[in-house]
Amino acid sequence: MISLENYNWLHSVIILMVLMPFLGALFQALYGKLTECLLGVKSGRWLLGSLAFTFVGTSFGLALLVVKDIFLKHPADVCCFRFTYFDWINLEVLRVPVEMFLDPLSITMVLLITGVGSLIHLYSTAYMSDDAEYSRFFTYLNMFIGFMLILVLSNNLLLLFVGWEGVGLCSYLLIGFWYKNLENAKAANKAFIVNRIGDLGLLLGIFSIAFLLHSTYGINSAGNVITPQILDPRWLSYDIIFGLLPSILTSYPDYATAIALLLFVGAMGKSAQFPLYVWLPDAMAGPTPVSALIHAATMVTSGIFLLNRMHMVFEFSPYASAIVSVVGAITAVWAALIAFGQTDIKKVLAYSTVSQLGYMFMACGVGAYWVGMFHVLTHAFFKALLFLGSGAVIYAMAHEQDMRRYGNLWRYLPVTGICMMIGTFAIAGIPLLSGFWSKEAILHAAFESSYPANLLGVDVATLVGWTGVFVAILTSAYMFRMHLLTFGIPFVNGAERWRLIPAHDHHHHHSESEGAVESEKYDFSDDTFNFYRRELCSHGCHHSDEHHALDKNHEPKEVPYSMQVVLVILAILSIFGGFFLHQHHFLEHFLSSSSAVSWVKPEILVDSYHDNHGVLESLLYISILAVTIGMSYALIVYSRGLPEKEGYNEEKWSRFRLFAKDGFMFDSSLSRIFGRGGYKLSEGFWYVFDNFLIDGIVNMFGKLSSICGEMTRFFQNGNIRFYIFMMSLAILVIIFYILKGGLN
Amino acid sequence: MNSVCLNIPGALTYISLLPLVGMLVVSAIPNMYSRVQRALGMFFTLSTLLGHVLFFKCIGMFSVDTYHFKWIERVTMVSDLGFHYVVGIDGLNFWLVLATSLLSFMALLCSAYEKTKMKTLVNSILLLQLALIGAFISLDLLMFFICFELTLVPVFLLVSMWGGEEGSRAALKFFVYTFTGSIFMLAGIIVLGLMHRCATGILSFNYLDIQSVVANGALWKTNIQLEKWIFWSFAIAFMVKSPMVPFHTWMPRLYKYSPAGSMILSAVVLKLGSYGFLRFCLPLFPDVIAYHVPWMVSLCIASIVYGGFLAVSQRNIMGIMAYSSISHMGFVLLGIFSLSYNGMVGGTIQQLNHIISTGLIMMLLSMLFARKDSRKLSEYGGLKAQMPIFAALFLIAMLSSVGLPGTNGFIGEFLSLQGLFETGAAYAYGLEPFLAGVAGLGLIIAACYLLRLFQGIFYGDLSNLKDRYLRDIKPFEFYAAGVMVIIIFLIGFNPSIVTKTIEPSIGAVREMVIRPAGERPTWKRCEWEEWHKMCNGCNKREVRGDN
Amino acid sequence: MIPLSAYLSVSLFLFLTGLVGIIIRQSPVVMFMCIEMMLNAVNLSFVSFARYAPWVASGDITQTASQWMTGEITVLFVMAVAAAEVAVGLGMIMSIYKNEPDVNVDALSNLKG
Repeated sequence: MISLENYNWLHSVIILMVLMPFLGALFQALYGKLTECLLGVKSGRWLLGSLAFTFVGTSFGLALLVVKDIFLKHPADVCCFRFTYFDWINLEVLRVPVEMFLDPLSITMVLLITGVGSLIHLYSTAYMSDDAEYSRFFTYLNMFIGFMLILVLSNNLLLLFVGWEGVGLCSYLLIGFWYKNLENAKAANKAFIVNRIGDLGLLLGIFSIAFLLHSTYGINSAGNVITPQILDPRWLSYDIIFGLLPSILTSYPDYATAIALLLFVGAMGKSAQFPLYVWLPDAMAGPTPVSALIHAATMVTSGIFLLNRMHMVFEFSPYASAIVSVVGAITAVWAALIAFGQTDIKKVLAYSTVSQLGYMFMACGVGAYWVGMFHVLTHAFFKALLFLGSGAVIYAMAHEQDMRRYGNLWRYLPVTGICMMIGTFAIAGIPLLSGFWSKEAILHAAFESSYPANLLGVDVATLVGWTGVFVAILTSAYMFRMHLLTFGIPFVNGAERWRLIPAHDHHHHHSESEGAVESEKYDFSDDTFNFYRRELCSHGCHHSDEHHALDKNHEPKEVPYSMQVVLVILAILSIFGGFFLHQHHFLEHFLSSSSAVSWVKPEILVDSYHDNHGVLESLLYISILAVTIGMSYALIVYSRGLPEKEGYNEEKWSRFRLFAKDGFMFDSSLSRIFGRGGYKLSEGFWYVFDNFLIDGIVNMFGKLSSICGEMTRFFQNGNIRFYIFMMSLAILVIIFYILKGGLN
Repeated sequence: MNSVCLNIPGALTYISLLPLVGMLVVSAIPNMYSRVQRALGMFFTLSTLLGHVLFFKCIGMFSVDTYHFKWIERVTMVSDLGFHYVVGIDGLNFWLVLATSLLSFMALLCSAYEKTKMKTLVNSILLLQLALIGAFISLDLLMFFICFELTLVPVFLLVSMWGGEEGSRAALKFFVYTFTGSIFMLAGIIVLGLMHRCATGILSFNYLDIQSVVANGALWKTNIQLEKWIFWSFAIAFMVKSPMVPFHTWMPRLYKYSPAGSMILSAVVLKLGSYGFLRFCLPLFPDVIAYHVPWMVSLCIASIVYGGFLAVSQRNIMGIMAYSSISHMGFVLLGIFSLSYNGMVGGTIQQLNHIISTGLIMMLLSMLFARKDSRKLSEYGGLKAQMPIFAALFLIAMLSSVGLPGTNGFIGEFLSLQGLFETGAAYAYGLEPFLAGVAGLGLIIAACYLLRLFQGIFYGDLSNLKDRYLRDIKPFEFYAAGVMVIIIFLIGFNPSIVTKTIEPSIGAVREMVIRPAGERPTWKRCEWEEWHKMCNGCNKREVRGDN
Repeated sequence: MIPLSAYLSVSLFLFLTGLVGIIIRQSPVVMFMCIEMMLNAVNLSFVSFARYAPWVASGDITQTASQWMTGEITVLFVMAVAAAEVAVGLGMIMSIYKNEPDVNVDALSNLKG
C-alpha cells in the first residue's frame, strides 16, 4: 500500500466526488422552479441543465485527476486506499463509519458512472427541454449518480446497501417521472418491489457474513445467548471481511455456498436476471435518457460490481458459481428469444440489455470476474449509444416507438443512423469493435475455465460457453433486425412506412379535458379554511407531453447538436474502447489485483481441467461465424422492409413470435399471480381471517355475555308476584337449611 | 449534574402535570374562543416538551452512560397497601416522554380545521398526553396500571365523538378489548405484590423493589409454572395494546373512524405495549422468557407478514395505516424478543422511528382529509400536480416508513432482522435462521402497500376534477411537517444521537434476561421519606446492600 | 289451657293464606288485603308468644317490664307500620287508577330487564 502522506488531498477529493451530485440535486430541488421563474423558461433551463452537467462533470474530472495522479504512476496492485469520514452507526457491537475504498475496481466504475453519466446529462438537456418539470428530472438524475457513487466507493457492505437502495429509489422516481399516466406509476412500483425482493436476499447475505465474523458466538454453559466477543465492531467493512473470511470459509464451505447464493439473489434483483428481470422491460416507461443511464449502463451493472467485490466468497463455492453462470446463460437465451417478438424499439433494447447482463453473469460464474467488468464497460458504451440513438429516433419521429412505423430513416437522420449502426455492429460482435473483444473474452473464459461443477455429465462451463455462442447468433440477428426495420440499408431506398400513417393532431385531446373543466361550476362556498383556488392554476394545467412534431413535410429531421455530440462520442468509444482496454491485457491486470488482502485460492478450484483445446483455438472463427449467421438472417428477411409475417395484422404472425411478444407469458403470469392474485388473496385473507375468524372470536366473547344475560333475563320479568314467589321460596329453603342444622 | 436541578424537588412531576393544568385552564375558556383554546393547548404541550428537554439536559440525560435511573421521585402513599408513587427517568423511557409531548403538540397544531368541538379535542389530547407521560415515567406497578387505563378514556372520547355511529361502536370495542387485556395484568400485578411480600415480608408494588428481588432469584425461586402464568397475564395486556396478531382486530376499525389529527398520538399509544414488554415483562420474568421466545417470535412474524399482507388490499386509507402500524410494531417486538444485543437495540430504535414516521404520515393525512372529506383510496388520484410540496413531504414520510437507508426507518428494521438472524443462526432459543427471511418478507410487502397508497393518492389523473383547484400545503403545516422531516433525516444520518442513550439500558435489560439468578443487574433504588430528597446518582442511603 | 301450638297454627294458616293470596291475586287492593292478613298473622304469633312465654306462664314477676311487654309492644309497632304502608300503597293505587281504571299488577312491569 502506498503511503498517503503525499496524497492528503485524496481524502477530500473522494468525498467531494461523491457529494457533488448530491449538491446538484439539492440545488435543483430547492431552486429549480425559482430559477425558471426568475430567468424565464429558456435561459433558466439552460442554466439548470448546465449546472446539472457541471456537477457530474466535476466528479468525472476529479476521477480523471485521481487516475492521472495515482493509478498511472503506480502499479495497480498497490493502489488501494481507505478513507474514513464520520461514524454513521456507532453501537457497542456494530460500528459502521462512512468510509470509502479506492481501488482499481471502484475507480473503473466511478469513471464509467460519471463519464457516461455526464454524457447522458448533456443529452437530456436537449431531450427534456420541452418538459414541464425540467428541474425535477435533473434532481433525480443527479441524486442517482450520487447514490451510485456511494455504492461503488463504499468500504463496507452497509454503505453499499445504502447506495443499492438509493439507486432503487431513484429508479422508481425516474420511471414514474411522467406520473399522469398511471401505467408509468405501476411500472415504477414493479421496479421498486422486484428490486426489494433482491434486496432481501442481499440483506440476508450481509447477515450471514456478520454471523460468521463473530469470533465466538456467545453461548454460555447454561445454553443462554450472551453478547459475543467482538474484536472489532466494524465487522461489515471490507478489510475486516476479507481478512477474516478466507479462514472461516475454508472450514465451513457450506456457508460459502449459502452466502454466495444470497448475495446472488441481491444481484439478480438489481441486474434483472431470470426470474427477477420482469421489471426491466416495463421500466422503459421512463424517459429514454433514464433508460440509457440506469437501465443499461449503471444501475443494472451494480450486481456484477457486487460479485466482483465479493468474488472471494464465490470462489470458495464452485456450486454457487455454477448456479450463477447457469442463471446467466438462461437469462441470456430467454431474453434474446423474447427480443425477436418485440415491435417497440425500446423494448428490444431492454431485452437486449437483460441478455447482455446474462453474458456478464456467465463470465462471473466461470471465475473470470474481470471479464464481467470488461463487458460492463463495453456494454455501457454501446448500449448507452443504442438507447440514446433510439431516443433520438423517438424524438425525431414525434414519439412514435413502434418499429413497424419506421423505415428508411438513414436518409433523414444520417448522423443518428451511422452511430446506431456502429452500436449495432458493436453489440453484435463485429470484429475489432469493442463488443467483439469483450464477447471473445467471455467465451474464452468460459471454455478455459477450470471450475469443476457439472450438470448431467457435461461440465457447466463448457455448456455455458456454447450457450454464449448461440446467444451471439441471436444477438446479432435481432439487433440487425432492429436496425434494418428502423433505418434500412444505407444508400438503398426502402419503404417509408411512416408516411402511411395520417398526420394526427397532438393537441386536441388536451382541449377536451380543459373544456370539460371550464364548463362545470364548482361551489366553493363551504371553503372556510381557504383550501381551494378560484382561478385556474397555471402549472397544474401545463401538461408535460413533449411535442416534437414532424416538420411541415411530415418528415423527420435530425436532432439537436447536443444530442448528436453525445452520440458521436459514444460511437467513438464503442469502436475503440474495447481495443484499447484489451491491449496488453491491460484491464485484466488492472482489475485482477483489486483486493487489499492477499489470500490463497482454495484447492477445490485449482486443477480441474476441461479439454477444450480445439474450441479455444478456433474460437475466433466460431464467433465470426456466429455474427455472420445472424447478420445474414437479418439481411435476408428484413432488407426489403417489414415482412408481412410481422406486420400490423398480428393474426399473420407465427405462433412462436406471438408467444415471444408476450414474453413467453412469464411476465404476464407473474403479474396475474402475484399482482392481481396477491390483491385478491389479501382481500380473501382479510375477509376470512380478520373479519370472520379473529373478529368472530372477539365478537363471540361479546355475544357470550349477551347470551348469559339472556339466560338470566327470565328472572327479571318485572312481575311483582313472581318476585314475591321467588322470595318466599328462597326463605323456605333457608328455613329448611337452618332447621336441618346447616348453620352449625 | 447541574446543581440548579437538584434544588427543585419533584421537578419531574411538576413538569409532567403541566397538561393537567392546561386542561383546567382550557376548560375555563368559553366555547366561542376556540382558537384561544387551541393556542392554550399548544402552549401547554409545548411547555411540557420544553420543560422536559431542559430538565433532561440539566440532569445530563442526553449523555447518559449508565443504565441506572438518573432521577427518581418516590412518595409512599399507602404503605399498608404497598401503593407508592414512584416516577423515574432512564434510557428506556425518556425518548418516549419527549416524543409524546412533541406529537401532542403536532396533533394540536394539525387540529386547526376543527369547527365545533375544539374544547373537547384539546382536553382529550392534553389528557392523553398526561396519561401517556404518566405511564412512561411511572415505576410503580399500580400507578402504571392507572395511567395505562387512563389512556383509554381520551381515545374513546375522540373516536366516538368524531366517528359517528360506526365510530362509537369501534371505540366501544377498543375500550372493552383493551380493558379486558389489562384486567389480566391487574391480576398479575396483585400476584407480584403478594409474591414480594412472600419473599421479603413487605407488601409493595414498587417496580424497583420487585425487580431487585427477582434479580437475585428470591421472588420466583422454583415457582416456574406460576411465573409462566403471570408472564402471560402481563403479555396479554401488552399484546393487545401494541397490537400483535391475533389480538389486533380493534385497531383497523378504530383507525378508520377516528379523526386523523388525533391519530397522530395513536402511534405513541401503541408504544405502551412494547415499552411494557421492555420494562416489565422482560426483567420481571427472566426464567421463562427462554421458553416463550419461539412463541413470541412467531407471533411477531405473523404480525409483520399478515399485517402487511392485509394492508395491500385495504380500500380505506386509514385501514392501510392501521395494518401498516401492526406490521411495524411486529418489527419492534421481533427485535426485542430476538434477545440479541443488536436486535434489542434495533427494536427500541424502531419504536421511536415508527412514532416519527407514522406520526408524520398521520399529520399529512390529517391535512389531506381536512381538504377532502373522503377516506376511500379510490376517490383520490393525481394530486401530485396540485400539491407538489405536499407530495414531496409524503414521499419522504413514506420512504421512512418503508425503511430506506438514510432515513430513520432503516436502522431499526436492519438491526431487528440482524438480531433475529443472529439468534436463529446460532439455533438458540429454538429459533432458526430462515425466520429472518420470512420476517424480511415484511419489507417487500411494506413496499407494496405503501407504494400503492402513494400512487393511489398522487399519481395518475385527477379522479375528481374539483381537485384541480386544491391549494398546496400551508406554511404552518409545512413547518410542522418540516420539523418531523428534519428529525427523520437527523436520526437517519446519525442514529447514535438516539442509540447512545438507550444502549446501556437495553444492555442491562438484556443481561437481566439472559443471566442466571444472582448475576442479574438491578437498578439502584433509594429510600427517602419526604418529597424533598432526591436521588443524585444514589450516593446517599443505599438500601439492603445491593449496588 | 289451649296449647301455644294452636295459636301458632292459626297464625301460620293466616300467613300462608295471605302469602298464597299475594302470589295468586292480580288486583293490588286484594294484594294489600293479603299483606294485612300476613301482618295480622304475625301479630297473632307475637301476642301468643308474649302470652305463652315461659316467665309469663310460670307467673314469675321478677322479670323486667320490657321483657314482659315485648311481644305486645311489638304488635303496636307492626300495626303502626301497617297503617302507614297502607296509606302509601293506597295512594299509589289511586294515582295508577287515574291513568287506567283497570289496575293490574302484571301490567306494571316497566322494570323488566
